[in-house]
Amino acid sequence: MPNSSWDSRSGAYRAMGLYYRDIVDYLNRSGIQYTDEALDLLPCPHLRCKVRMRSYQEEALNAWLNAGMRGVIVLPTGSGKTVIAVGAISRLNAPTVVIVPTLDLVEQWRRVLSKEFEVEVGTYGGGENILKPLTVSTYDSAYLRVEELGNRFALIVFDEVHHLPSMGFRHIAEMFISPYRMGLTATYEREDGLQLELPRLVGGKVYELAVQELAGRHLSEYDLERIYVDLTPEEEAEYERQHKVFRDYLESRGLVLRTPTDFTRFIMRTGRDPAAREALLARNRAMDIALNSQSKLEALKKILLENPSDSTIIFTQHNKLVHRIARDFLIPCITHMTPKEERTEILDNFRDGKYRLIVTSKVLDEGVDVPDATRAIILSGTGSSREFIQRLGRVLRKREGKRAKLVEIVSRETAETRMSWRRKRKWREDASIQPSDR
Amino acid sequence: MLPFNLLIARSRAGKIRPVYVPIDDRHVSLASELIEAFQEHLGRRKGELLEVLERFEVLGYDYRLIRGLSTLLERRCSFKAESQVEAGEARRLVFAEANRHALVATEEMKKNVLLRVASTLSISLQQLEASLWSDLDQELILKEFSPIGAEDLLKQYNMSLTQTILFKATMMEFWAGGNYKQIFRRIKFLGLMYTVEKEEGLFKVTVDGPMALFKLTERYGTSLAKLLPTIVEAGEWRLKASIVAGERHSPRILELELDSGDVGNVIESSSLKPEQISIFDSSVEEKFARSFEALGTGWRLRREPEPFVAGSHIMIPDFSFEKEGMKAYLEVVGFWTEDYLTKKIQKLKQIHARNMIIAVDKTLSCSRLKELRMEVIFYEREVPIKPIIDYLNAMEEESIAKQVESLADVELTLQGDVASLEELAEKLQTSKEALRRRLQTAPVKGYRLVGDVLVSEKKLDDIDRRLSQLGEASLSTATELLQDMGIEAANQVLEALGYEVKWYGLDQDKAIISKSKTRSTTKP
Repeated sequence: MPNSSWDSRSGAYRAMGLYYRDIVDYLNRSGIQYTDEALDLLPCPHLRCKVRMRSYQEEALNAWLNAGMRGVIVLPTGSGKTVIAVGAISRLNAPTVVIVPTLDLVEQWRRVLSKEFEVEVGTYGGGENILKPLTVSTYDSAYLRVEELGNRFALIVFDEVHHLPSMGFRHIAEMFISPYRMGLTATYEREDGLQLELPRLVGGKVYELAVQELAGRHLSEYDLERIYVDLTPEEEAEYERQHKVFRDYLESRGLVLRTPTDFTRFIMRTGRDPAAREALLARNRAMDIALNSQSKLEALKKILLENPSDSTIIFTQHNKLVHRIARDFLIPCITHMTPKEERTEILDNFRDGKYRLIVTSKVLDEGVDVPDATRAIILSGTGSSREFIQRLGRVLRKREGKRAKLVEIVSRETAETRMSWRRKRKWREDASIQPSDR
Repeated sequence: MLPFNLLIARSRAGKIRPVYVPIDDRHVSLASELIEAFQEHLGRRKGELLEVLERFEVLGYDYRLIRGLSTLLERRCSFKAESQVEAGEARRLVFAEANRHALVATEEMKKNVLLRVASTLSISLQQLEASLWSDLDQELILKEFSPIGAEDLLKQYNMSLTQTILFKATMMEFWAGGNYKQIFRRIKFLGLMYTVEKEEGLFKVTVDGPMALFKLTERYGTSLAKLLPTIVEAGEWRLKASIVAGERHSPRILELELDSGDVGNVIESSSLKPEQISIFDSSVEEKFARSFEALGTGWRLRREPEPFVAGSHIMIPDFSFEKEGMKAYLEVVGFWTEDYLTKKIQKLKQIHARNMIIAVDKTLSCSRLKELRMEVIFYEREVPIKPIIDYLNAMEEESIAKQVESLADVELTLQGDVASLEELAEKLQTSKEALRRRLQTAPVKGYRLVGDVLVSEKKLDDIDRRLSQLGEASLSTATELLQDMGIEAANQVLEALGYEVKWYGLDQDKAIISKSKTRSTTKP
């Protein structure tokens, strides 16, 4: 039996769910009689819908079908990956589970699937768990509940599949027995290289379309603008003071922080060494000053006043700044603390044009459907290229005759400048569009 | 359990160990102060409390300790938003009003927006401002805090620390001094798998999960951590776990070893809530235990006796009955399904359990159980006591008969005038009852069995003479005399010597002994 091991405790050969399909294939090919008590599909209504696909969506779906209904499809954010999954479910007409990273995405997929197939869609994550032939779950809930869900679905769709190879989440792919698997993402590569696990877990990359191939054709065109601001003199002084504590510590210990691993080691030091802890706190305070500078708020105000009719999303790194902006300008805000109903209502109002502005922290990073935003303003970022692209995607929804704008507001001459440069470098490689610095 | 970044542990030479907070004056007073801080903030903002807690971090303690303790205390709190108007509702109205402008760019515009909303809600501007963000974490009000003792908090912290390490465990081995039923029920509930080996008379249980067969995985770490309190509950325990540590690209396996002898007094041992500890499986068992114990049979009834090992699995009978080296077991099969029963029978067959009584609910068909060569008792609603006592008596009878037989050839020689049956039985490694029977059929020359004591004829004569010298004496005087002569069981000796007690009321001083006849039995 391929990929299986003898377990004396259960008195049987056992195998990971991942190999269910291989084992069934093997048994069939070998002409061995067997009964299958592993797969226990949920009773499923007729799942057919007439979804209209764009040409590249059709191409992507066919590539996946031809690859034996396994594999990863790579498309830029905003290009309608959901539609491809809907097409796959309709072709397969079988119980399907969709795994997504956030509660917002659970809600968004639930809405799309129940509309397209006119059935009640089950959800896992965020409290109530309801099992239905079409179910949407968070990665977290799927990981925790895999024993309960793992043998009930023929097709498993991983949205934002780049999350899957992490040490914990890969268990989902290994323990589900679903023979048909689809991965969707805008960013196949991971900084840690773990995308190499994806062919084993889901199937290899079967289709890819880069952002520049779509821009102008299916997505609105966009401009990138970067605004540098100076810290106020008081902020500058305080920034220098705090940053010096950090620098002095590194110098005194002969430390150089070049890679993320260096930084992790430094963080680990802070547990043992009170001076390291103080240095870390000072660095955080300095970052805080740079990220939350009053000058940035002034710049933000200026942009918002100059473009009074653009629907705009403002991104910040920390909730603190979200709340400050919400308090100062009375702009609707969303953080991870925002109650679900309020969050849905704010997004709906933004979609319907009832709200022109939203300010949010990282919660909207991934895939959340916010159509018709014509401008995004980043007030601070973490320097990850994936995040940058995802955010960019928010303003790239198709809209006739509009050029979307992405504005980044950065403090000059701070550690943050370097972070922003790192983001942009990656972005340049992806999009090959020159930013127009002010 | 604590967030991983608050874990304090040391690793050296392939071993990992949590850094337990010592239960000493310094740390007990730290814990008390933290508890006090929480108590003092009842009715105040969470933000204020957090500021106070942050100040503790610069007192020279490890900040992870302060945060760990605070995390545990925060779990004992309930925070609530307090405001004139529900915060979400207030925001909805304010955002809608603000959205009528391109941007609320000045303080004055902001004030106007808020004033308009306040007037529609018929509240003041200040009340609206206070309501608007009242549901933010920092703004919540501490409404309830369920207090805990300082030492208990430290012990709970140490338990949490251990559990936090176990999050990263790939497998665990343990030895426990009891609590088996709870432990194995918990293992099953958590979806873990186990094997049991008997090692030097102790049960070594190895636990991991289904995926562990294929790969080294931390997936079951959380479940292993959840199992820990039930093991610690046993009082005596020992465990070994493999912990994944180090950086992601070069993980290492470290060994965690703990022993109740080392850490038993610094780690919380009864973290389970009372409702989680159900001593009895069902009321049927509880009722049985009560009525059996009320009878005072001399059999010691024990809940969850030591387990039988069945293959690599374990079976723990509901009760054991113990008396003088004899042991019988009772398993109550109440609610069952066919599958359950089949498995149970398989298990019982595997373990070749001796002296096993099985009580089965009569309303359920049990043809399968009859295949077993074990005592099966049927019951309805209540497990009947009589058939069990009968079984135990028969067992005892059989055992006594065997012992009497083996005592037949034993030559008994005694020294001194008085010997207790109990001590003698112990010396001969037999039961009191068997020895009594043997003495009844073949007495020791020169000695007589008086109650539970063997007394020499010489001594009895002596007593008899001394008593007759007293003439008409009170019972208390006679008892004193006998006690002086080294006889505790006065009444039995008096009776054996043919004395009668005439009672005048309840007072021993007024009870008079008199000889009614000669000795109750003739001299041998």
